[in-house]
Amino acid sequence: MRNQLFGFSDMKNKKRYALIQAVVFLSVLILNALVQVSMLAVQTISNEILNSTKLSLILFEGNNKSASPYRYDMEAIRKINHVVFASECRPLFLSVSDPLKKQSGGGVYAIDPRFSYYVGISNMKDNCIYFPQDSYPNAENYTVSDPIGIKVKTVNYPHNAPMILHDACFMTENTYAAIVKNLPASFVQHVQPVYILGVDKVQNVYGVVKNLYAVAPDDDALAMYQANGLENMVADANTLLWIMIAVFVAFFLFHVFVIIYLSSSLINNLSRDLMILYLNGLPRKKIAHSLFAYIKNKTLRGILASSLISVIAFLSAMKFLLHQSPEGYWYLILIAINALVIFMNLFTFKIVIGKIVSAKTSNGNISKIIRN
Amino acid sequence: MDCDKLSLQNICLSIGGKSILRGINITIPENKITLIYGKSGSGKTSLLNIMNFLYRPDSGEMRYNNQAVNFDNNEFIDRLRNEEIGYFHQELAFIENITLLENLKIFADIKNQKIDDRQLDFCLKLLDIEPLLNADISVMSGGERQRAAFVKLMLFPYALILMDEPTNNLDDDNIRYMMEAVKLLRQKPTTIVIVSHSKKIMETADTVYNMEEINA
Repeated sequence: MRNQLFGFSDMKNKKRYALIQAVVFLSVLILNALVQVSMLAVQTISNEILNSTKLSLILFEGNNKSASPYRYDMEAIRKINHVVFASECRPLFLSVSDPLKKQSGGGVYAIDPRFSYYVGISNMKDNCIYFPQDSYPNAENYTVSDPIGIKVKTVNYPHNAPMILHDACFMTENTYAAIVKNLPASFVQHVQPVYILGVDKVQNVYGVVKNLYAVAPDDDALAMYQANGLENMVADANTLLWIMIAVFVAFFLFHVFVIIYLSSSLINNLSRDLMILYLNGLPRKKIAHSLFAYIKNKTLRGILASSLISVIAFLSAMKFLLHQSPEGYWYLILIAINALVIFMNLFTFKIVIGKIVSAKTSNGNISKIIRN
Repeated sequence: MDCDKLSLQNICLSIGGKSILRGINITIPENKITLIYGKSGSGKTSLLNIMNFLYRPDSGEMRYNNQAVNFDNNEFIDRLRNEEIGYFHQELAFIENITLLENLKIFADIKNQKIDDRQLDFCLKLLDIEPLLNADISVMSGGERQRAAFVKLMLFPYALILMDEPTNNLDDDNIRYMMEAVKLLRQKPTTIVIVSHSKKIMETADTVYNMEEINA
């Protein structure tokens, strides 16, 4: 019954209640949209830019002063800050039975199998040569015609490696060593050694490249990396994340301000009625509780509806516009965010109503009215 | 055995640096009518506000049912307000824009009580406001509102009723109705304190205090 105590206030506050309902409904929609767009942007920026393994890859090679291929000190390279792994090899250009391409055009590179995900290969195994799906479809049908001395499986890895290793084929460092042992020395001797480096984060690639050039200051060295020229974008991506958080916080503060304003306006209009309730024996806390319960009752359905609408709209947009299937954790995040938004809305109303009701029904305020 | 519902000892109160009450010593006998009269600005409403816990005295002691009142004990004060004290004020009697019946239902709800329909009928008849039960408070005249406010006081079992200027702006007819109601109220085990600048209701009072004498 107490939850409906403020039913009397409907008549003269119909517009105010309607405004509160509309503002809360729209605010929850906008907060949800902001969060969802931020989540998408964070995921895209994080996966596709800041933590992209493809963008974190560096291909390094160099000649010495006499224009001969140069071998660098692997230990020095591995010690450079943020270098996750470094593999050295002279790419092998093997002949395969592919009717379209008689030679593995991009060459076969050795890579540390623990970090093969940097080039898009998962679970890399020994005694296999991995051909890019896009350039070498049906690799399982190939055979290597060169005398490599061991039996290898030819398999595909999805799509292609990053552009700097376009058309490249890969094998583990162990397999590479076993094959090189069996090939004539002339097969590899004249090929320039290549260093494949993986960096922990894209934003650190630029520092690593500088340090690489420092390792070989007098050499005609060349570092190729996918993130080349994207310095500003990478830096801006980081800033963008903070801007999104700032926009969300700013909008939330604005929302809180609007709730304070609307609650204050409503309670100002109810001020005399609140005093009457207080003078008739309803304690301040119960007045605030009843008013909060009444507003909650009026707005909760709207909040839940806007939450539901925004989540359904978001998931539909992901599926039908972005053609992405949301993963399980997305649902958890959406539920958690909506629970937080609903809680924060109700919490703000509760605190604001409690404070304003206390002020309006203060003894000083009532006495002032009585004395006048 | 007669005992005091309220006793105020050496109560002092200043508002905005102005001394309003200066060492008030009075007792309010239980189940009796006490009238405190005095001219405007003599401090009688402030004294009533102390009895209603709206003001905290600067010094002195107030005892309720012979128990010293701690003005910081909100729980105790909230309970007294809810269960025992009825307050009459012309301006702050009813919520506007709803009917008298709706108001009474709200007050009953606050007190966790139900309205006795027979008693309600009786009160409405006595105060001659039967047709106003379902009328919007905002369309009632001042006199009708005063009488309606008495319905509330008669309907619920208050142990202490505090009335602030109940005869203000009333014509003789309305004063007569009010006196009838007060007479009925005194038949209940209820202590009534009336503050007024008028001496018209002096005859109904058991105890009379003149503010000029007690607030010298």
